[in-house]
Amino acid sequence: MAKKTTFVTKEQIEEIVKAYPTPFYLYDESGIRKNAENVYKAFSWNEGYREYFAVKATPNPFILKILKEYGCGVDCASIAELKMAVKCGFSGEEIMFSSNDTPAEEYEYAAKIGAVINLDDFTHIEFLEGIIGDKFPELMSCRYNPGGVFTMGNDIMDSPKDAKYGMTKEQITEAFKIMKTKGVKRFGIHAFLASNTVTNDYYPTLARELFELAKELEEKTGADIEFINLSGGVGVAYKPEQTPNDIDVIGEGVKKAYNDILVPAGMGDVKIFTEMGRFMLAPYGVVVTKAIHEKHIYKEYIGVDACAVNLIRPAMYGAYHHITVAGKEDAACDHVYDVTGSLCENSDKFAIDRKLPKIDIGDYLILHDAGAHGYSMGYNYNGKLKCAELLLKENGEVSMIRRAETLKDYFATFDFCDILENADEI
Amino acid sequence: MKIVKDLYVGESAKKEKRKILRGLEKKELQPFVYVITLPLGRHGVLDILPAFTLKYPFFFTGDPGQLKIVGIAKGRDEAFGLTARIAMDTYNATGGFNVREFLED
Repeated sequence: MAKKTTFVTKEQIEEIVKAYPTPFYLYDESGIRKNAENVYKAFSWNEGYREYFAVKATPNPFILKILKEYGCGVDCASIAELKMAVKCGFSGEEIMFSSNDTPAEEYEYAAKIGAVINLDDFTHIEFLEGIIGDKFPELMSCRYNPGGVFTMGNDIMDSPKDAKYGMTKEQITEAFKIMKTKGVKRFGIHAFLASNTVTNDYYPTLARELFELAKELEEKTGADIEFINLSGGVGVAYKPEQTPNDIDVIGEGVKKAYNDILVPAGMGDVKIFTEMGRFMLAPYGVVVTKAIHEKHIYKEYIGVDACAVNLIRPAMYGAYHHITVAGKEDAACDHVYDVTGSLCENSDKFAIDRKLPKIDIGDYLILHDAGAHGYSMGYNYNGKLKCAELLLKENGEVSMIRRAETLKDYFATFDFCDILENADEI
Repeated sequence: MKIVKDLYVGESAKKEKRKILRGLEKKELQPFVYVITLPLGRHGVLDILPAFTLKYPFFFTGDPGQLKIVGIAKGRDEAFGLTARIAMDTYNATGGFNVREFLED
């Protein structure tokens, strides 16, 4: 079993906590940059390739600006994400608007800033027409759902038939025909079939399916397909026993499918887009938290100062996040703990029956692979506040890229009246 | 699926009435076309459905074969207007809103 290591040491944490109390998120700038470089290298064979980073994964403008330096665009799914993208300097076709159950004002804003609108549903053509009129943008995309189950070999990867996203093949075909009559000249196809796959075969398999669809759509509708968006789904090895995805192998696999299907069809100019929020950021962010209690009843518990408010994935999905006890990286994992947060919710556990080195009060625990869908999924149950986000820069310095919430923030939604006036000060 | 003899047809749908009816028969995917039906269940007065949902039997709790189409419209707004017209006609003729009885009679 491979050993999972992290990018921050106990000594560094001890320095950081002098300025920023735990818990906090810490992101590794050099890891983010190196990975972005590798992704672009792996797809460099495709002239128009672009990674549209899924803002939902890590909606932090400082992170978005780093990714922008590599040519990344952004995948937005709400008006807040669109506005953050615009403020970070993304514009026009650098922004993919992939939303579902979309409110009118979000379509209106996406159209206003010239984002690429990726329609989730056939009925949204009429809905969009009601908002922006009969003249659609020149470039538009549609989201495809093939239905059935998505298999690779004998393995069932996911069940698109149960997914709320996308259109049937018949619907997407008709949608392209209609959109042509409304002035759309350039088309895109988007599909998301499986989440967090840890196999180098997912993207190539999906690519083959979408490339065949693109050929068929071009034949049947005469639409000029400009891009195919493989969306997300490329995961990370959360568990030590998993083999991480190899982006070079994935890029090569997609290239082979491209050369086998699109090039012979005269579609060798189609751009490939990806939306790998998790792959781009998850391994390069951790939650650092301190052990503040231990409890011995029918099990051994370690209570930490973070909770599901800071990282909800374990509580919500039973997701595994590897834990390193800072300074005890090489110690034997000869104790079994449930590592818990403080919420009045029994699922608020970062680990259950986890073998770890002996943990002492005051030890710092590092929760791995929290860089995507970590901070962003947080909430405020029990009135617990979201923590700060910090960036470990390439030169070793640490800077704050989002401050921790305060009670004033928590009470702010009552500022229309004086019922909780100055409650943060009493 | 049955279509009543005295079918209500919206203004825009009038121009394409034959094409729409043919499409309904063949269960084609007709964008912007809506059908107004008597509800399959016992509750409700009228249902407004995008025509293409007739292709998806899983959409219905009852037998979609028993669906009775009483109106066709082009566009959502026209569908709403037509539905109001059917309801008003029913009220004016019967003093109530038993659309099923009114249309079947």
